[in-house]
Amino acid sequence: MDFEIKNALRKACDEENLDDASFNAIKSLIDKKISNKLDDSQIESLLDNIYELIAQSKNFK
Amino acid sequence: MKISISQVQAKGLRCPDIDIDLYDQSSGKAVNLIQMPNGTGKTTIISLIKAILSRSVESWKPSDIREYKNKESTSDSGEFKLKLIIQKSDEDEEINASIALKFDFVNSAVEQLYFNKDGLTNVWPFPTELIPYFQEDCVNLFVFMGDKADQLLTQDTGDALTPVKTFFGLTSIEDLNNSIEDLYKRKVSTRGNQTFNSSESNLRQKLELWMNREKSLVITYKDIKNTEKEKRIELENLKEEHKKLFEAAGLQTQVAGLEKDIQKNTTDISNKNLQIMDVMRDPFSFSDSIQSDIKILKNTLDDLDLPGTSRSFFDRWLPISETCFCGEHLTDSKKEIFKKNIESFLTDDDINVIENIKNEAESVFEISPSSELETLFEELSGLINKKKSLELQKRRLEIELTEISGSNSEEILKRRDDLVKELNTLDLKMGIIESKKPIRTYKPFDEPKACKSVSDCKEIVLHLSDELSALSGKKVYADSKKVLSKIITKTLTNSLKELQNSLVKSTNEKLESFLGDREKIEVLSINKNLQLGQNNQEQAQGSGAQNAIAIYSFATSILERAEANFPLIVDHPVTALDNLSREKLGEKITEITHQFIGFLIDTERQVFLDSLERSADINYVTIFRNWPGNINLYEALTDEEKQKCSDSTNACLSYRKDFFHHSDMGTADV
Repeated sequence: MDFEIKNALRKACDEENLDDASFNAIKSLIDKKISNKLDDSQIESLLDNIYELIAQSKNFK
Repeated sequence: MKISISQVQAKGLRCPDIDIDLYDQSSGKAVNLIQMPNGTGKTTIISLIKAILSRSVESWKPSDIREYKNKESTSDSGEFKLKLIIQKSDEDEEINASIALKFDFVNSAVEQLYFNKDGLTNVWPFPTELIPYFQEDCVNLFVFMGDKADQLLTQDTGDALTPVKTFFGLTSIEDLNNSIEDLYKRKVSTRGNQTFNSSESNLRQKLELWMNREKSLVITYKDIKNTEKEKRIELENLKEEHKKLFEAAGLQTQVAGLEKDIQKNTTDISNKNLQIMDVMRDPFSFSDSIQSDIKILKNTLDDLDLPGTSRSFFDRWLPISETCFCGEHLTDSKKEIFKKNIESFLTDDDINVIENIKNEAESVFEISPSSELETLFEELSGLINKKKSLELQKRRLEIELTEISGSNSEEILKRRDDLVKELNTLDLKMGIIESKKPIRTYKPFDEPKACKSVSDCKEIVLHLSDELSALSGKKVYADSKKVLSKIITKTLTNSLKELQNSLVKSTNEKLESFLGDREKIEVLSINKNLQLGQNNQEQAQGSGAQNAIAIYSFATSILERAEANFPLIVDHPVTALDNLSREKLGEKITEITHQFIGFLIDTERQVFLDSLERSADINYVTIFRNWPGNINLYEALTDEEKQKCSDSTNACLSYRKDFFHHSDMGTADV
């Protein structure tokens, strides 16, 4: 992942007050997508995990 | 990642039957120069390389396939093959594989075949990470026509943003964002076995209708976009054909001069419009009546002797003064009269306002009323008249051409005008589908068919999905998804902006190293097109050399920055360049690519070859048709080359440097 993307992602996560676990999970999802290593079912399961982390980080529950 | 082409093979096609061995930096020869006279099949070879690398064969129509048939041959089949060496990273091993196109001209069909080290395979033989780069807009970045470099610089035909997005993974992130939206909508709208209350059922039905509407609009948009692309290509080809007719009629110099003037005139009109807009931001510049009204106001204030004296003055003056303004003694009774009337005097703030009005009014009179704007409008009108006159001159040349070359030219012109009209209509349709209205316009969301815009439709689908998720107990899921979408959208927007700025900078550094101080031109922005300009002032295009060098600089900046070592394959690499630019490009070519494959004609050797030979080892390739007209070339071949030539059905090839240097091939051999 290029540093411009990583920086922009870090900033966007900070603006949403997300924790490091959420940032790392989103970064990993994007990394895998860029290197073309994901199919739809894998995306779905990674997303479920990310939504969990976001909900915890933002106290949605 | 590194991609090199090690061999090109062609048989039974419009280009010569030939096997061309190519090299890259690792084998000591980073520069491959393939010299072929015009009309021998250079463009065919390059378009087939492009077709393989961009995997565009799947969208070919039967007429596209038939175009590649060798009209002289009785064979109903043909084959084009590229041998490639791919290395994912320095730590990975090189992969040798081939991709071939097998033509069946009886059924107007073409098949794409893959070969790995074990032979034929039915799967893509390269790492899947490379797939995104093997698409047309990316391939256009490293396989291009040097003499048509201006295409990336014009608003209509250019697309500089797609390669930027693809090479840095932003296209994949956009794709991911779409998948997130699709999964969300699917999850929210999926029925399952639950029972729903009536408002939920109603919402689900509504959502389904809007999702279908969105799908149908997306399909319509894609269809229009494809048609638009085809028509633009047809228009470009027509222009090219027309240019050739002008050349044949000996009118090309006049037309080229006129086109240059028209282009300059377009830039001048655009700059004049900007100047006018700047002046018009000041309302005094275009209204004499505002100025005269202000003058009246100022005179009135002067006549009334305003601002006069303020309340605070009387508050301070009355207790200490013994003498009135008139010179008489200020008695207590007179002081009482002043005190009674003190409220009718102005406050300090009022005084300040009036002082400011008077000062501003003074400054207004310093501006000469609307004369600047009048001059600018006169100049604009002059430029527009010039435009009409230039277009008329061009029209006259077109009529002259029709008289010389007959109906063919007339048909081209008619088709060109029709195409321009059709493209305008398509642009209009796309504009409607891309347009944006506030979604409340569509409330209560009962008529999906009334919505003609994809983005409006998408927004409504999301809105309804959010409503439904709240109703069906999926609010936490919906809120988390919203946060993720926001983060990804921000990441996309901000990283693209940073990448654009960084690429503008590196492209300009390269431009300067190629052009030096002699021609100040810079890339101002990278968007749909590559915007050139000087001193922050946009210009439609640069000179031929500036345009070509700008494209080289842009392409190599992206490839370098993305650490993508792809071959640079250029048709007519230096036709558009003057001698100094040829020399600079020759000096730097090995610095900007690990494999350069240039398809050129003999007139491009001048200066370029001398400069290249000082900086690189070259793989010299000369190809010509095995026809009686080329007997002198044939006679200059070695016996071994002659033997190989007779093995081929229609072409001769030499890898010798002296043959390459001394072959006078003319501009055509057909």
